[in-house]
Amino acid sequence: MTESDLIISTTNLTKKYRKKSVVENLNLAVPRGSVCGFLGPNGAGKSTTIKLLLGLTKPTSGEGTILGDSIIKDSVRIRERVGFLAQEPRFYEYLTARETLRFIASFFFKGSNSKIESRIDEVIYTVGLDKKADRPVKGFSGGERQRLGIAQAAINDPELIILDEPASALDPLGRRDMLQIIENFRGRSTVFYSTHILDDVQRVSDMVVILNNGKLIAQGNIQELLAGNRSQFYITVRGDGSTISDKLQNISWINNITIEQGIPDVNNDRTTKLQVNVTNPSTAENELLRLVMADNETVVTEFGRTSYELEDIFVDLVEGESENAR
Amino acid sequence: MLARTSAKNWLRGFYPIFRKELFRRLRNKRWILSLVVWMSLSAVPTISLAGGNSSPSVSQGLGMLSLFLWLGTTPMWIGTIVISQGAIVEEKLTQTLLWIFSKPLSGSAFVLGKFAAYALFIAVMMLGIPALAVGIFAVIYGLTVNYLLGYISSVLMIYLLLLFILSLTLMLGTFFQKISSVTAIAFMVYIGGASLNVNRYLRLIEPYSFAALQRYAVQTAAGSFPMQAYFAIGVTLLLIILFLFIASWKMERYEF
Repeated sequence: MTESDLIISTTNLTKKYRKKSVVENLNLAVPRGSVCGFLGPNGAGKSTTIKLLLGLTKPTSGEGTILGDSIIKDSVRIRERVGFLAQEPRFYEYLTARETLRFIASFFFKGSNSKIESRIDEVIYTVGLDKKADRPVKGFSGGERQRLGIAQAAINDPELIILDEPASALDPLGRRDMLQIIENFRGRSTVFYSTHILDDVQRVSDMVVILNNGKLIAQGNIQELLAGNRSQFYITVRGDGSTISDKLQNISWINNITIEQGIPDVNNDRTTKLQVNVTNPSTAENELLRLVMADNETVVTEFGRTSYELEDIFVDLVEGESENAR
Repeated sequence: MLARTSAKNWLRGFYPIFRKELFRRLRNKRWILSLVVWMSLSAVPTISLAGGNSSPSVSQGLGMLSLFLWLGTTPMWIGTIVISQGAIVEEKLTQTLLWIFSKPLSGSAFVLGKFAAYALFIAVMMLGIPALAVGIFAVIYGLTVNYLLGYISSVLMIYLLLLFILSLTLMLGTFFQKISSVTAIAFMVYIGGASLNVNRYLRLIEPYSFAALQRYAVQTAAGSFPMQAYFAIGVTLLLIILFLFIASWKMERYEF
């Protein structure tokens, strides 16, 4: 991937407050057009990273670019092409939603009022605030404020939208709607959003960046990350699985086998799940099930390549990183 | 196709801030309330105290102007501090500052936009219309028209004094996180300036400082423009520019 394919790129980006590193040697590479989930536990440095990217705080060392512009020298130009929603968006309470958007639009556009008004109407409709557009923000619920936050972030039709915890304070319905709005940006803008709700990332993102204690611990395509270890397979068999386990132990391309208790089958009979780690995944793909099925007494109820939930990966990575740090 | 704004970087966002601040002050016919308040605090007491005691004469008209320039402007400098004390600190406290600075807004445009909006409000609502009313009544009470040029110069000097207080208060807002700190220091500076005469050494600089502007305004309205007023005007202007520069510099470096 070349530099021009990246919409966000940082090199050893570091932010220290006094002597404490909040963000440390961060090397981000977010491709254009992606929906990138920026994950990390509370206090990991996600919000600080976002502020660094927008030039709202200055890095202690390192550098970065957004859309090819320096986050240190060209932050005003960057903010012209980026939309941002803060973690707890605050607006002028005395303005209505429409006035708020008119105010924000005036940072970007000049000239024909009718064109600006139709753009405002468009984003109000997109976020579903059309019935509340002329009410003061003061009376808005959390979800409505978040919608307004998205609308003001999208008003300039940005190439990149950065959202800081957009769904964390919302109820399940609000979260669902927010994810739908994020999904709607796909193909029009790159979306970079921080969250600690792993399920949301798995649902809408195609890329993930994981941060812990200010350090980057994983970054990449979410499908690859979820596919996990390509050399791990699982077989669920009826019974205790000892016969088949003994048989497989002698196969040269099988590394090791872990046995777990399986969920009882439809007849409520006992099952056993074998996690099989192999040295040659392509051979295993062709041969493993055949080997197991060759034994007439073995009943296989499940077979497949082990995949992970994002939560498993996240917990493994964060805990592993924390232990290394100790 | 929407046309994109093309202001220079250091002025990016000036117009939205300027317009928003004016809207805040004047929205929903609030300007009527502002006008009533400022007329009641400065023009009405002056007109009722100085007018109608004797038959119309030049001296009665001049007395009205002097009363307005001395006493009528006192609520104005207090009012300038009061209306602008939270202009920047409130944005920090409510965190709207983070929001607006995530848009293409430079620190200098933020400060200058606020300054321009408040300056316009002061020029029209706080000083301009009451001064106009007093001027009209002064003419009715016997002031000859040839004094009006001096009166306009006097009002401009008072305006400069109010802009000095405004720029000082805005600058203080960039340094502090509490409105009370801004208010206290702004009051101390103004009262300290007005008290320069109590010390025999400080008394030497008083004629060249902002503190003398009110006295020069009264003298100018009466027909005598002291030469030292030029220095006081120059120094005050420079201080306003310096305060705005420092405030802009501070906002450019503000970390969220």
